[in-house]
Amino acid sequence: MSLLAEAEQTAAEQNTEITPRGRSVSSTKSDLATPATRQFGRQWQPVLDKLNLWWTDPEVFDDEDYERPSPNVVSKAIGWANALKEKDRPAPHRVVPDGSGGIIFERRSGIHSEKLHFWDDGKIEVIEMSGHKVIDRVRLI
Amino acid sequence: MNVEPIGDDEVLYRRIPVSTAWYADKVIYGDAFQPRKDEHTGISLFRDKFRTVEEVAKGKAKQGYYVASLRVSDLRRAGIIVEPRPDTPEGWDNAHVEIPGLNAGNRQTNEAEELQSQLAEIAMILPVAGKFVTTE
Repeated sequence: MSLLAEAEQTAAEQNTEITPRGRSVSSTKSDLATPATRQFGRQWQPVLDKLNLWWTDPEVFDDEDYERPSPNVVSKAIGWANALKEKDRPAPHRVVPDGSGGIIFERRSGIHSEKLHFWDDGKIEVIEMSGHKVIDRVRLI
Repeated sequence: MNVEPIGDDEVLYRRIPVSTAWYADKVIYGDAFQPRKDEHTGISLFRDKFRTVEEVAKGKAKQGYYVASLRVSDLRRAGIIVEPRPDTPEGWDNAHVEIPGLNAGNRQTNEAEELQSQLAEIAMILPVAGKFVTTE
């Protein structure tokens, strides 16, 4: 399943507020993987560790030119990471700040890439690229 | 003061904070060229004619910086416009240039994504310098 499809499904299913640290993610519907059937759970741990570090120690971004991810955005990204982990979706290859208060999850395969961009203004978009071309862009929230 | 045109033979520097992971495993990602919300007229780079790599790398980040180098000829071949912008809020700086095609106003557009991706590829042509950690 593409990141876009997963993200759209997750967006549609998330119906309550997601809390920081992801310990009490809003429950999603019936397709949660059980621990025994999970393939990708471990892939998410470094992602969650990184996001939790950004939540607890925002000073890791100490550059004067760029804005660190806002607590709101970090919280939202943790919630999404947990929701996608619970559904046993593959973790992103990269999780990086966008320099303006937002966060990007990215999966890459050859020249193809998919980004889940949590913008500083609250918007969430999936951006799919092939080489230098944007081939799809969907605003989820 | 005179604004000196940018020559095709010049190289432009872009500073990348290590903590962002926009340069990782010897790959520069388009994220390294994302406009900030306050970059209304274009993202900033610096001319090698007026600034050394070490000078560009100076900053407060504890983890330090990498510095990417982009040849002006490569940028122009790709149709990317670079303009000298020495008149900065901090004063006159002959080294300061901007890429007006990437700015705060279009940072959430396909155009920006595509240009960032192109810039990342061009920035991979020359070696990335660093990392540099400023100790004060």
